[in-house]
Amino acid sequence: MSAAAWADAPTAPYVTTADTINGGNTAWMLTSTALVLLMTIPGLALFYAGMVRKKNVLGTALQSFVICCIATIVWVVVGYSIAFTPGNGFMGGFDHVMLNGLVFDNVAGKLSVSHIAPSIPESVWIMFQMTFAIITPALITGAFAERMKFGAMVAFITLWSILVYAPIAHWVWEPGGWLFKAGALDFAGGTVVHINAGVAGLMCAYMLGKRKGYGKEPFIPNNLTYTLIGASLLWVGWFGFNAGSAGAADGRAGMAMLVTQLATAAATISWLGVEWVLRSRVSLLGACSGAVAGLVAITPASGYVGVGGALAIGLAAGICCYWGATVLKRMLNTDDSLDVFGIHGIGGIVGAILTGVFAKTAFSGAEASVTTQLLGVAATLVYSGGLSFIILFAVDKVIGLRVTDEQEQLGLDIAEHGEQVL
Amino acid sequence: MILSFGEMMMKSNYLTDEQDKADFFMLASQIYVRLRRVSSRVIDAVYMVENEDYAHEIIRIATLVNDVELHQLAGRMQQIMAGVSGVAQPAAPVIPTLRQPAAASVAPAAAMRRPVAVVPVPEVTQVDVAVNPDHVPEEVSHHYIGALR
Repeated sequence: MSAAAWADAPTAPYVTTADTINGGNTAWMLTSTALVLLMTIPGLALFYAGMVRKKNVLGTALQSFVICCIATIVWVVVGYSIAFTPGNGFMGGFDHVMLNGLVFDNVAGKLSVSHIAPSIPESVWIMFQMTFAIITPALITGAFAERMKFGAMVAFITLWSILVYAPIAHWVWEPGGWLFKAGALDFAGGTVVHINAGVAGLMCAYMLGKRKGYGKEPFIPNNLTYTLIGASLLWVGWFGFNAGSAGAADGRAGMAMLVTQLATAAATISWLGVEWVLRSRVSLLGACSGAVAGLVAITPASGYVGVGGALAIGLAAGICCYWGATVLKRMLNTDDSLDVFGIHGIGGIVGAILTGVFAKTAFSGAEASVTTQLLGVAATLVYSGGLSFIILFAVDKVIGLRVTDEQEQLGLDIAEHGEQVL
Repeated sequence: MILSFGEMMMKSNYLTDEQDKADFFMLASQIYVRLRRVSSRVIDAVYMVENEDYAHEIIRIATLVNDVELHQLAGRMQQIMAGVSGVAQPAAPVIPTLRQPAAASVAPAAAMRRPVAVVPVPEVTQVDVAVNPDHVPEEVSHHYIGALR
């Protein structure tokens, strides 16, 4: 729905009768919610765990699992209220703290719905958006893998979810948000999720410093089969992420699914093509990385572009993210361990800009503008990067961000959790 | 040579000083990288720290390869081992051929519990330049050093 079309629509969650609920839409959104949750646990947990050294496998997977729990509680307590209820242009109100206002009266046939998705129960909308609030901070963990204190990670993620994720979601997705009003297009989270997580990850990598031996010793991934399984789960789950963001089981959801598949395949092929040209080989990790790059880049565009645009975005994403994970990484001179910025940050930026190029007005009624897309990218980079730095600085002063050299050498599995993979 | 269980235990964890272990592991990692690059061999750097016989065998293999950097690394490793045992290890002969066939360069060692594998690596190069192991470049092009992808 375009910004203009929102003018006459309700501006806050409201109570309605059960007969206004669309069973087909609700079924699809329930399914999508499960698919997006599957992306984090076990998808992302396996994707990341396969790329770290054997001594850090359990700690890395555990981070995704625990973040799932933290983000769930934060979302219910305050996150949903900040992100998806009316307030001002920068953040929502606090009327829906602890999901106050959520109504379900089966006897009277009444229930509440979100003004953003009025054909499904508000409970389903809350859950669907909760899975986005889960995966976004979980993505960041790849940047500080193998060296962050568990307690510091918990504190950082809790604060970040409240102070960074929820406000940016409000800016972009809530009709009162300033970027929404400006006309920035982000169908499923290229800006809110991927650029946001990417730049926050980059800040984490800067603040924590490089791992011991980085650039001197080979940090060999312990099991790339895990990474392949994780990437495959991400790919499948992404259909819930993108097609579910239509908020309905309709033609737009179908198009979103189609272009998601196409862009992902194109990005995988283009990443592997670059590898073939530059290194005379193709790799499994390259294929997984290219697929994720394509998924990321098509995310903001998935409800706005046709197959031609999807193909172009996919091909561009594979090439640009390869550059991000190799050349740009060296230029930034930081140990973004699992290339969160190189893939999610760069992929998100490429997708956001190309959404402005390839968006079709007929799909949504929205007029796309590259300038407005750039504004959304810049605002997210500055706000997320700045706030992430402040939060990390504060956590460092209170708890300390990094494990000791001895703990790092021993590995987080033993040093932090007393467990290990044999 | 067949070792008894007791002898095996004595050969394991022969590095008792933590600093020796750290230094030894650093050298083992560098030998791992260099051997893989110049002769496509894959070794177990962790096991070199744990098993003296395995470490000797890898040092022997490293000295058979015609590569100055490998010889320097092997020499430094022998110095550490000599300090541990109190007896200087004889330096293995340097054979000036470029690359030895796997069967000729690996002597049977019953005590070894880790294979020395030969795997195809497309980026095989022979860079016979003397490199000071204390000054390994911060970023090198080799896979998994300074870059995951």
